[in-house]
Amino acid sequence: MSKKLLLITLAALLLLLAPHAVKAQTCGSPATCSGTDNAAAMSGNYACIAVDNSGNQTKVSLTTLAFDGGGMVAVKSANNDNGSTTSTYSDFATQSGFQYCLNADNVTGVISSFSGTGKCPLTFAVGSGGKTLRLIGAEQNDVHVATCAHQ
Amino acid sequence: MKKFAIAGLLAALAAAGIGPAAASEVCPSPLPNCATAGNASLLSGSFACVGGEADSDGSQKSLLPLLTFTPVGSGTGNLTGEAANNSNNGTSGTYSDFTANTITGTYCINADNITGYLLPGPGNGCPIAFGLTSGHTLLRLIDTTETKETSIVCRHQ
Repeated sequence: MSKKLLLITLAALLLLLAPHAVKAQTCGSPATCSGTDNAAAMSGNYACIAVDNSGNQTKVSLTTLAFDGGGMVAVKSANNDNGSTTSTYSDFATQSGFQYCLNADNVTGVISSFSGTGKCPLTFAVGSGGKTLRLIGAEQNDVHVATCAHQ
Repeated sequence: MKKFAIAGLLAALAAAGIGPAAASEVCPSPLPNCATAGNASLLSGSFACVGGEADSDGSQKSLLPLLTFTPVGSGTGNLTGEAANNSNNGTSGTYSDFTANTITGTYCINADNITGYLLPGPGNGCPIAFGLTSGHTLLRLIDTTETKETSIVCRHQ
């Protein structure tokens, strides 16, 4: 293959890939725990209301989080938004593949999805001796705030 | 006195009339409902709530509902209440007081004893999903009405 043909092929490939690069979710960094993971100090069920504001659309979620004390968290969520499409509500559905970590301060931590899901982490702070949980999303240009209470 | 049902809850809560749901209000299909039966007695007594609503037309409402739950059977119970609300839709008379907005309906709670729904009577609006926490003293609600983003937090009296 000539050098010219190689360059043309490379340019075409870049053009094909460009739209996907623009649409990809961009996560803030870092959004991870550091040092000792105290995941074992956190367990039980929480119910949360989350509000997500991206652009001009607002989405609200009613989410349950079940922390297993071993670094895994089961997520179930119902969502609705004020978009103009006819079907905006989605009922409670389980979302699998989430894990969590808790920093040595036993206050701050991160919920993250397994690699490949394309979802950004959620950073959280535990309050009131574990009775409350407050989270924000780490996706760039997206305001996601959630408050939770222990069952 | 206007009598609404749950839709009244939010919407009701929201404005006035719940009788039949407004033509512009579309409920999910199938209607959300509990899949399993939990302990309805975990949700009982009176709750004071505050919340907000954003519609697809850009209007917003503030909601102040008072809700009373009475368990009646396996995973189900009755709901009564009243709500004050206000909006920023630019017309006069946007505020509606408690006495103008009564709420009636039923509720169900799933076997997880966390999630459930406030259920309006037929033609009276859409179900409202809830999460019950904090020793059954905190209730979080979202409306299932399509294109309506509503969240409410309630505390037991």
